[in-house]
Formats: sequence, C-alpha cells, structure tokens
Amino acid sequence: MTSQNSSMRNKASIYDLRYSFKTTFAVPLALLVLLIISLTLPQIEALDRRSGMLEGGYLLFDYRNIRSEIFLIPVLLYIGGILTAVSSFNFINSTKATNVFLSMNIKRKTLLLNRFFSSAVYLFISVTVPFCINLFNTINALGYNPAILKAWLYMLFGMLACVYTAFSVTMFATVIAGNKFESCLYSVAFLSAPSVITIGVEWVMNKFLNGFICTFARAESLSSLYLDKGGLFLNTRVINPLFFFSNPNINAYNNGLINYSSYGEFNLKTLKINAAEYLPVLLWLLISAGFLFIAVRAFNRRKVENSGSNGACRPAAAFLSAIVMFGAFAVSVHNLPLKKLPTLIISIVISAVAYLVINAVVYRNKKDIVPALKKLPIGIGAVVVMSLILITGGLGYTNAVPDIDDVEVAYVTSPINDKMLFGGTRVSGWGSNNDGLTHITGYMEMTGGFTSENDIREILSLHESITEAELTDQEMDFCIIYRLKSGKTVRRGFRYLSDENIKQALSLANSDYCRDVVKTKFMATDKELDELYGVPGEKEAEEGDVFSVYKKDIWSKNYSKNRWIFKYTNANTYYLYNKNGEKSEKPLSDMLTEEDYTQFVGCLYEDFQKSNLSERYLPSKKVIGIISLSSEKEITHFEDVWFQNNSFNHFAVVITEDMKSTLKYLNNKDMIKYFDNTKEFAEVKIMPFSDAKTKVYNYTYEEKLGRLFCMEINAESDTNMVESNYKEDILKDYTRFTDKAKINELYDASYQFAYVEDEGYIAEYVFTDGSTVRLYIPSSYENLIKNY
Amino acid sequence: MIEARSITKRYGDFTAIEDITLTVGPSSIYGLAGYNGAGKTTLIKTLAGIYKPESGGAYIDGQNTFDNNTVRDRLFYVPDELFFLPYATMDTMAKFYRGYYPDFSAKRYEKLKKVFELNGSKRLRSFSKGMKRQAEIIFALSVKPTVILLDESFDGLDPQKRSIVKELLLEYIAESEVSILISSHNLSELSDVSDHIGLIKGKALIVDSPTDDISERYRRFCVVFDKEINADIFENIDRKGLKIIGKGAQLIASEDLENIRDSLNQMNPVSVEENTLSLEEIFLFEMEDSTYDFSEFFNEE
Repeated sequence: MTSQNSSMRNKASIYDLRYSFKTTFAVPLALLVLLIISLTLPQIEALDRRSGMLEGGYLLFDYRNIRSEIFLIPVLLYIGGILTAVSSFNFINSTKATNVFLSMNIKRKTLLLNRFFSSAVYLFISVTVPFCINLFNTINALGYNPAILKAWLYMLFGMLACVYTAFSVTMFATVIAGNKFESCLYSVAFLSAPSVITIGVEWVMNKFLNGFICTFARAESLSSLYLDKGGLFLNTRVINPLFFFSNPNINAYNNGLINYSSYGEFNLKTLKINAAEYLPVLLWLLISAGFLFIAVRAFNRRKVENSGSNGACRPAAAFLSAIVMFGAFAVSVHNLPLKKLPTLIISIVISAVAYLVINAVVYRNKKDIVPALKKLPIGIGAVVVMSLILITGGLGYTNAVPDIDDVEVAYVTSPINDKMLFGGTRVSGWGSNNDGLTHITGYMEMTGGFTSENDIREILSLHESITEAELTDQEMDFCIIYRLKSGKTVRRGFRYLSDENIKQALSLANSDYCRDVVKTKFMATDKELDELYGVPGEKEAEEGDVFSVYKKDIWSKNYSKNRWIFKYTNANTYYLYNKNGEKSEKPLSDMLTEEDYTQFVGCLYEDFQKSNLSERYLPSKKVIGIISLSSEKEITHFEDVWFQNNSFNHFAVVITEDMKSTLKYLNNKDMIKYFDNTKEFAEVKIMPFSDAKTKVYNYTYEEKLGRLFCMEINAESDTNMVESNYKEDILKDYTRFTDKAKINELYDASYQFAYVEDEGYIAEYVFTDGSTVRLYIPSSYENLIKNY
Repeated sequence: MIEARSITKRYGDFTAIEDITLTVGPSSIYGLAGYNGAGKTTLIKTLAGIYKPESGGAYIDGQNTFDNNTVRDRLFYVPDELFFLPYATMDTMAKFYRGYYPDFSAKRYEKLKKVFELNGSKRLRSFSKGMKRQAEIIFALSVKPTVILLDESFDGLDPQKRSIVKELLLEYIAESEVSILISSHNLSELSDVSDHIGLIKGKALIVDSPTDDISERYRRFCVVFDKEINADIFENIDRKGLKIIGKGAQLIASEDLENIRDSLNQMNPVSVEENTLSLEEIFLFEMEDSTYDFSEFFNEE
C-alpha cells in the first residue's frame, strides 16, 4: 500500500513537472524571438554586407550596427527574467489556484522547484539559441579559433547570469508578495536597490559635499557611468544585480566580441578574458541559486491567506518604501538648481510625498497606511542625518588638507581641456572625444606629478581655497590626488570651482613641474628622452593589455632627430589656425623639414620661457593665431588605473603678439599668412559675456564655454547650419555694429577662449558669405566697445 | 477519517477560529454550519492543509495534512471559489486531475457527466455557476478520495441537481469508508445529508453532535397559565430562550430537560406543550446573540 502511495505521489510530481513545462513557455518564447531580432538578425545583416572585410577578424556581434541593442539585450534579459517568474509563479498569489494546488498531493517545495526548473530550462534555451546561431555564423565566416569559443562562453554565461538573477529575485519577490503587482514592485526594488543607493548617494554627495573622496571622474548619466572608472556605483558594480555584467573594461566585451569595426582589424590578444572577469558571473549564478533556496524556504512558511492581499509582507513593503523614498530624495537633490538648504527642504518634502504615494499604492487602505506613516519620520531623519554629514564635509573628513611634509607627489586634473580651444573647429568637436581611446578606458585626464615643495604648496593652497570657498553654481569636475610619504593615497574630487579657484588651478602652468615638462618635451635630446621614456619596444604593455596596440604604435614610430613633441606625437596633424577656426591648407609636416621642426620648436620654447605660461589660458596680449598640436596620448599607470597624462600631449599654442621668435620664424617661412582673416565682415553682434552665460545656466563650466563659443566658432557654413538653434538662443539681446573699420579693430582684440572671465564680451562676427564665428573680447577692451 | 485537533487560526491580529476540535469518521458526512465569516472556510482550508494553523492541527488518518503529500492524495477539496485552467473544458480539467490523482476513474467521470448532463468539450468559462459546481463535484467523485471537503457546494445548484449530489454522496459513503465535510448555510440541506452537525459561532464550535441527537437535545416548551405572568417565575429554570405573551410563555432548553419539565409542572400551568426543534430553528436559536425589535426597525420618528 505504502509503495503504491509513493508511486502515486511520484506520478503526481512528474505530472506537475510536465504541467509546469506546458505552462511556463510563453514569456521565454517571446524573449527568444526578441533576442533573435535584436542579436542575431543584425549580425546576419552585417555578415552579408561586409563579408569581404572579415578576414582576420572575429565577429560575434557587430558593435557598430547593434550598438543600441548591446544595451537593449541586458534590458530584455532582465525584463524577460522578471516576467517569466511572475507568470510561472502566478499561482502563488491567486486564492483560487492555491485552493487547488496546495490541497493536492504535492508538496509546496516540489511545486516551486518544478516551475523553477521548467522556466530555467526555457530561459536557457531562449538565451542560448541566439548565441549559438551567432557562434555558428561567426565560425562560418571567420573560421574556428578556441579564443572565439572562450569569449562566446563568457558572454553566454554572463547573459545567463543576468536572466537568472532577474528570474530568481522575482521568484523570491513573488513568494513573499501578496499579488502580482507587488511581486513586480518588490522585484524591481530588490534588483535596483544597489543602483538606487549607490547612484543616489553619489548624487547627494555631489550636491552637499564639494570635496569628496573620489576615485576618478564621477558619473552624471548612465552612459558616463558606464564609461567611467570611478565612483561608488562603479566600484560596487560586482555586487549590483543589474550592472555586474556591464564592465566596459572587459576586453572581450569591448573588443573581442563586439568591436570589430571601430579599430580596424581585430587583435587576438584583446580576446583574452581574465579569470577575474568570470567572478561576477559566477557570483551572480550562485546568488541566483541562493535566491532559489530562500524562496523555497519562504514558500514553505508562506501564509497562503496572504494571496491576493495588499502589503501583507511588511518588511518587503518597508524596504520598497525606503528605496522609493531615498530614490526620490536623490533625484530631487540631483535636479534642483538651488542652494543646499532649499534643496534639502524641498527634497525632503518630495521624498515624503513619494513615501506616501508608494504606501498608498502598496496598502490601498487607510487602516494599513497609518502604521506605515508612523515610520515616515525615521526615513526623514535618515536623509537629514545623511545630508548633514555630507554638508559638514563628512564631519570634516573630506575637507581635510594633508600636511605639506606628508606629501610625496601630487596630481591634479587639468581644469580646462586643451581641446576646448578648438572646440568648434574640425580638430575636435565640442563634447565629443571621438578618439576612441577615451571612450573605451574612461580614464581621467590628470597632470602630474608635482614633487617640488613650491608646487605641492601651491596645490595644497589651491585645495584649501577650494574647500573654503562658497559653493557656486559653476560646475567643474576637478580632482586632486596626493601620494603621501607613508604610501597612502589621498584623493579628493570637487564639483564646484569658483572663478578664483579656476584661475589658481590654471596658474599651475607656472609650476616647477610644468616648466620642467616644457623644457623636457621641447628641448631634451634623443638620449635624454630614451633615458626618460625607455628605448622603443621596451615598454610595451603586457599581452592582452587593452592599450597594447596604441602603446606599441607610439613607441615604434621612428621620429628620431626630432624633439619629444614631434617624436611621440603625430606631426602630420599639426596645423596653423586663424581666429575663425580656419586651418592652413597643409599640416606643418608638409611645410617643414625635420630640421625645421627642431628650429621651430626652439623658437616656441624660447617664447614660452619668456612668457608666463598661464598666458595659454588668459592671454593678455593680442592673439595672432593658434597652432594645434594634436597627438597620440601618453598613457601612464597610477594605482592600477590607466589614465592619460595631459601634459602637453594634446594642446594648442596660442600665438600672441609678444611671441617674437615664433612669429619671426613663421614670417621667414611665409606661414604667418595662415593666421590672417580671409573673409569680409558683414557685421558683429556683441553682448556682455555674463549675460550670455545666464542663457546656458545649469551647465558645467566647460559645457557653458562649449555652448557659447564652440558651436559657432567655426566659420564653415555647414557648422553654422547645424548649430543655428544655439545661435538664436544665446545672442538674443546683442548690440550690433556694421562699421567695417571698427569691426576690424574689435576683431583684432578678440580671441578664441580657453578661459574667459565674466567681465568680457562675446562677439559674433558675421561674414558676407553668411558664416559666423564667435570670439571673446576681454574686459580691457571695454572702452573700445562703449565708444561706439 | 479527518480530525481537527484544537485548531486556532489567526490572520495577523484577527483570530478567525479558536481551539476547534472535530472528527469526521469513516463513512460519515459532517455538516458544518455557521454565519458568513464565522470561520467555516478557514477551518476547511486548514483541514485541507492549505492554511497552517497557529496552534493545533488537521489530521487525516492520524497524519498532519499541512504540506503533506502522503495524505493529501486521499483528499479532495471543492472550494467555494472554483479554479479552472484558462480556456479549459471539463475534459481538459479531468485530464489535469487525472495527472495529479492517478486513481482518477475515467469511467466514473464519463458516467457522472451523463448523470449531470454536462458537455465535457465545452469551455468551463461558458458554464453557469451551478454547472461549474456540478463539474467540480464530478471531479471530486472521480478522483476517488477518502476525504472530501465541500465548501458551500450546494450554492447555485437547482433542487434536482442538489438532490442528485446528495444521493451521490450518500451512495459514495455507503460504498467506501469516506469522510465528507460539507459547509453550508442551508441547515435543512445539511440535515438531509449529514449524520453529524457542527455549528461555528464566535470563532468556536458551539455544537458538535450527531444529527439525530441534536433534535432530541433541544426542546421548546409552551406553557399557558390562567393569569398574566412575568419572567421572574422562570428565574430558577435553566433555559436559553424565553418569550412571554400574556398568559403564555415559550422557552427553549437543551439541557436537564427532565428537571425543567418538573419545574414547569410545579407552577400549576393550564397546559404544558413540548416540541422538538428543526435544525434551522436550532441554528437561529444558537446564533442569535442580539435580537432586533424589527417592529421598531422602520419607525424613523
């Protein structure tokens, strides 16, 4: 009898498994179709289109053509995982269904595990099938290579970890929730909690804490978070269920699998996947198993009478409320363009409203909301305490400036990107570092290290004045890093810099370090350079290093008999520019011999030595023109993080009227003509710079300059067309001059900005061919304008 | 045999049933009565092993039913709110139950379909409430359980189908040692089919008795005197209900009937009449906590 009963029970369990397979396929099937559409079809199209170009490359996905889908695929996986769990375990929250399933001859554990198993199998198929097709296509097109298989497996496991994480977390949420809506809410809350907390804390820190402990650049948007190396969010990504597989530094993800087209032929070395890169994947597969375990336990103990009820699981409802409340607080703090106190007060009100709304949504009746409301003061207290701690600089911790005797070396970010000088020209567009390198690695441009006592004192003084300054709305990311003699590192990031702070930072161009760099880079001999930088080839990065290709290129180029500035930079991109942003027809390399370069650099160095180097940013003399020296980046390694050393690698030399040697040299070579304006003026529109600046309120300092100048700086007509909207917006209340002689006089006094002060003017010169250029007129020429 | 042993079930702070003990023996039908919200469904779901009680337990043949598949293959629960698979027909639901209950008798299922004149290939969604109940009862009898729990299962059935169901249940217990528990508001229906009656009131089981005994236990005494009387004269009599109209009095008692009878006779009444109560009357008598004066109910002045 007993064995007969046991056999009956086994039959029931087997039937339940079959029933689970019959009823859980719908969402995974939809996911399979969507993945084929977004992942496989683009690859097939890409293979069709560019089959002749694939030799030597490895293409699992075509990054260029499915770029948006690369972000879409994880989103699909998470939504697919959530919906699969909600539909598979739907019976838990249905009173009618539990009446049947929980009174039948099958244990709760078996019911749950059967549905888990069938859903997990379907999800596996949904994700694996498109990947298999992609693998087949890749091997078919490019030939088999074990590296492809390794990378494929890595991506597959990563994507499976994503889908299983969403699925198992939602399964747990469904088991503790009272209804379907709640299970979705709790699931989203659990999955997004680490992101909400880390991004929220960063946002609140940004607002309330000027000097914060930074790693490297902080994030402002999802895309920059993705690219960035630093920040709380990025540093906790491994334990973040939504972003553990979004590490942009994973070689395979960036290069091996998806990035065939961006950098030409694919490099096998970059396909290498470190064992460490599997860790987040394995970790989250394990966590998914952990969620299954606790879901089974929770289901065994579940009070079935909660099915169909609202807010039955008080801890989950409280967690959801806390996440929503803090999220609303952080979003509000991040977006309110107000001072700290009003921001804090309004954000508390908004977060309290969010708390009330989410509790109303969860409980849906007054009786249950009232006890929840009693906990609101706890939430408000928590955000107030957190804000106060931040407002006081982490109780004084983040505003602390090291002692000069303790500092060994210091690094700072360049307060103004050199490229800004050419923002509107074709040299580099505003806001787009399309050199690839920056985008892949996300390093921050640092200058350093400053080691002399004078330099360190200057930096400490700058640090102190930043921490003491009243916060302004002038946003500018700025970072100071000290390596102390004790071996420790102190990193401080700053969000807001006053005009005085920026000027002080710019004056670091006069530091011993910068002067030394100028000297070295302009005047050092080949031998000295080799001693400094090593013999070409010796410093190649290790195999598999993401920079290997670039470093190798830099070091293997043969520019002997040239100074560093030409030796380690790409001389054929040097041009002369006039103030309209129009460049010489040929690069310097076509106009000068190698011997000429040496002389030319000598002249530049002579002038640099005589002048104050901050003239690069704040020229007090008339600007004649600009020489753009774009170059390969020098990449340095600091504390396991690669970053670009910005010192004179990619910069523009502003040629002012006092740079006699350079001007004489250019005159002799008949190159000074490239600085001339070749166009005829129609009119000039002028307005105070401070007025124009208010029109671009709420942008960072660099963005402001970009919007005011870079958009319009180029006299080429197509640029004008593209950016005409900005033109109309910003220069609305201008003063117009049409007298040609006067315009010429004003034009002589104008220059491209690098750093501009509020006192000056913004001038838009309109040429007879319809093109325009925007330049800055310093306040010292105020009389010239007022006399008109 | 199914037993409730001191079951207490709470929903948060609210106690739905408290310390309920009952037994449904083999070849027995237990009728469970009680007001709406008295806790009948809670008790049945606890007996079915769906709810876990805060204390006590439900047992089938001595084994706890909560999450216990070793005993629940002998149990079938017909809930008040019926569950059918989406777009299911009777035949697909039969297939579903056959999967979970390997003893499911297809032969019996076909026969019962004919008895109730139900179309097995028609979608259950299109069935009336009564037809859905009939279908569920067919499934319950087809899986051949030894314990059947029927929650308000006569609701929505026409008199003919009700009669068929009763006969089928009686036949089924006669044929095998089945324990059936039926909850209903309809006492006369329960008295027709049950051999045992339980009454839930105020979270507790206040009546738990064989159906035959229950009528015997309650008596209505109608006493007539030759002069007008007041309630004081019945002070020493252990009675539950008392109504005085002029020279007459009506009282209901359930215990110590012999003594009551003697006490009434000693009052020298003109006449003493003694009647048994119907189950309906017992139900109303036991359930009435407060009595409204309905004559005043609509008088708004």
